[in-house]
Amino acid sequence: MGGGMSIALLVCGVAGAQQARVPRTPDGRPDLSGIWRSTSNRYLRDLTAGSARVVIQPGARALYTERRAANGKGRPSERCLPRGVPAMMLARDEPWKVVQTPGAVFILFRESLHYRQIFTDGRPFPDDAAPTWLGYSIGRWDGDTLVAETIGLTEETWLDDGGHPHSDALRVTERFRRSTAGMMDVDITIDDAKAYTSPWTVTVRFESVSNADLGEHLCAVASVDAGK
Amino acid sequence: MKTPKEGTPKKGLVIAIGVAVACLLASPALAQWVNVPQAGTPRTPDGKPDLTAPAPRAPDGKPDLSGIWQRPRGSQPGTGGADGIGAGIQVLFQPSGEAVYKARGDSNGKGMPSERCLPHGVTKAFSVPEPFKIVQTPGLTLILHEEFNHYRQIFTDGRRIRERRAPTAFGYSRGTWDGDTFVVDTTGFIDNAWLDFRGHPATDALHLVERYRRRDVGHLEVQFTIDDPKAYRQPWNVTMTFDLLPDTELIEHICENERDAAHLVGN
Repeated sequence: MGGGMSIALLVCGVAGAQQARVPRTPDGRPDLSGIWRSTSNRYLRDLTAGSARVVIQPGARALYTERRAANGKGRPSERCLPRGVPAMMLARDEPWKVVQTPGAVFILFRESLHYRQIFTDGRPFPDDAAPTWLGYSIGRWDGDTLVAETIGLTEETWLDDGGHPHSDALRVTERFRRSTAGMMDVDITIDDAKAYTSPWTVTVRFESVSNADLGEHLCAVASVDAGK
Repeated sequence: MKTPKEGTPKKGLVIAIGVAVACLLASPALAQWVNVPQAGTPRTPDGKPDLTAPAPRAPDGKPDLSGIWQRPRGSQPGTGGADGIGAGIQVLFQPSGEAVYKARGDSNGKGMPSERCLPHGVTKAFSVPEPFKIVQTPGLTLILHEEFNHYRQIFTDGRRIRERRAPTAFGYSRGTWDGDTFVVDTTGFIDNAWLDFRGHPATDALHLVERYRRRDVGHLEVQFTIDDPKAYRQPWNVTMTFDLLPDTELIEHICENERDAAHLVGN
């Protein structure tokens, strides 16, 4: 990552009043809006951390072994390409902001100034979802939990910096649970029959960041002679 | 995946823009455009969006600018061309601004930040053929650009500008309403920026004012006032119009110019 391109420093602080009540939108749903970041880099390093039964299919295993042998070299984020879903959520130093509106939930990332859209207006997945870096996400509410499902993710993305691979069959389910005002747990389910023998789930904790300004962190590999 | 189209000479730039437009027109690209009828869109009896119906209103009574917008094909000012967004406008440079402008022209636009996938900045991002989406919410208006998948925040909650904020490509924007016109004031820009593909410069002294007016359902007009006393002897205005792109969704466009850059710097 081009350190010189780090334009804005984030002044972080865990929000006070962690136990304060979870805010709600006018329709009665929990309001996930705010700036969040992972409480650690544990799952960015290894998304399977703490998950006992992750069995990789042979083809994916070979790719994973190769990436591990290369010490994680070659991952797309080295070249300023997006980490993809779910990895782009997981870096402790890269917070993101949720803007929850009636028909869509938007996630704005400090990293690369990228955004995700999770459509909650009841639309189905498109018939022809060409693979993209961030996929196509639709969401619905299950009680107080926002359930986002994402498909159409390019095989180029890594599930984590450790190199866990996925195929074009990947379906990521994220269950966003804002348990307190200052804390959100997200259950991330990886369902990819081509790469793993069965779906597996990890729960990643995010904390609210009391910062009104997300800032931006731009990445440019060829920035050595860039100056500006 | 679209073809990277930055970092081209003037003539090449025109060709590159043409390629971008061709990509938009090409049927494979069109096939990817999702058909998502929006419930709130007024329609004519045959079910088509009524693009000349009165502009919708937000719950607070202000015009709702939300929607996906795109520059009309062949519209002026063009993205490239000899004079960029300054075409047909008298732009009075400061000597230093003129020198930068000339140097960028002489080098055929080489070195513009978007070559390295860095943000275009406000006016340049609006000048491309790719659409953008406005999401108007209470307290915050978002602009989601299809190009590079970059976003911009416009705060409408009356917050003050934080001092000692690091400058950024899109600056720090606050919006207010002047009747039915959404007025956005932006400062806090990085220095040595590009206002367009032609290389009109802007400095960290830039104060950009945008005035958004949704004439009806299908038409949006934005007037930009470029007030940068370090680069120009007097403020100048550019107006761009945009057409609503109804019942669809943005296509993801990630800039991949950096894809092969790693080996160039010996990583």
